[in-house]
Amino acid sequence: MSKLKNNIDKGITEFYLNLDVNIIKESLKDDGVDVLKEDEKISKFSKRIKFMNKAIAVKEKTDNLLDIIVSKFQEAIEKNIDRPIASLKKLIEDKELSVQFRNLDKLTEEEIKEIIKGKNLVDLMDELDEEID
Amino acid sequence: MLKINNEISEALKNCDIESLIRKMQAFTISKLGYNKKNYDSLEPLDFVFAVFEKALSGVRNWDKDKIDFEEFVFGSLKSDISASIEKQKRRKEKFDEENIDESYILDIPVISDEVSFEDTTTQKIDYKIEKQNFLNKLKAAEATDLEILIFECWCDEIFKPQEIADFLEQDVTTIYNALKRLQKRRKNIL
Repeated sequence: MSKLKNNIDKGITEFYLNLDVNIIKESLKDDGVDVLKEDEKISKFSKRIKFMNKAIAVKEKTDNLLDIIVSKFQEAIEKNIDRPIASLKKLIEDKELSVQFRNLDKLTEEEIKEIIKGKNLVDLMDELDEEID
Repeated sequence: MLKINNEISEALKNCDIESLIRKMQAFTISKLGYNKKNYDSLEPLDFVFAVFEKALSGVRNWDKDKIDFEEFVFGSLKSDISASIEKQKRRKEKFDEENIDESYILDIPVISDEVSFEDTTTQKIDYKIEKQNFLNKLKAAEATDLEILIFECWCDEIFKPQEIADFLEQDVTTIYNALKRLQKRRKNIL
């Protein structure tokens, strides 16, 4: 793009980016747009985006916590630490999971996630910290 | 489901989404007009929503060291507007090939600098000559003095609405109205 075209393009973009939103609304009204109705629509959309943003942040935190807990259980199995292993066995029994879950050495990451599914992860993390320490 | 990354998530917390969407809407209308056919039968606002969601979905990478979040979303918008113009152009060509006289996309503005190709011819032209040529075209198209002065501001790298308004001793609304006329005129001469 030539410098002139670039300046024109930048001029137009910067103008809209920095224009007072009330001036835009007035102009839209002049063009026959139902600004009030659209305000509601924009507000709903904005809320949806913000809600999804929060939900994603929460999910990321949960996923991270889940990964840490799985690692701790795997470490406990590997090092043969009694108390976390006992906790894991109890969870398996409580959930009445199939035989494949009984052999702890062969548990996959996904299977451990299945075992702890539905548990309060923060509480479980606290318990594990105490048991491993 | 969107896949908002951490940086976008953080930017969203500090962003006035509603104002940004209005700015995007006004910009879109200035490029594509109000005709629903230019938006695949969507409202201009829905077109903006779709762009906004796409910008957040990770389809485009945001280099936050280079541009701020609003510029990033606006960049996505410009890209989608160009794609829409290209799509309409292809449709028009298809109709032309089929010798159909009536075209419903005659009002689509085609702006060469927004359709992702390098115009090497214009790059070779000296900036001053190019500016003078554009000024001559503006005058021939009966642009008002204010429109010409706005163009001069851009050439002098004065871009912000309030700066232009202060420099030209006009209120921002008057400048905005003149800018919209200038945009329409520009479509015909660039």
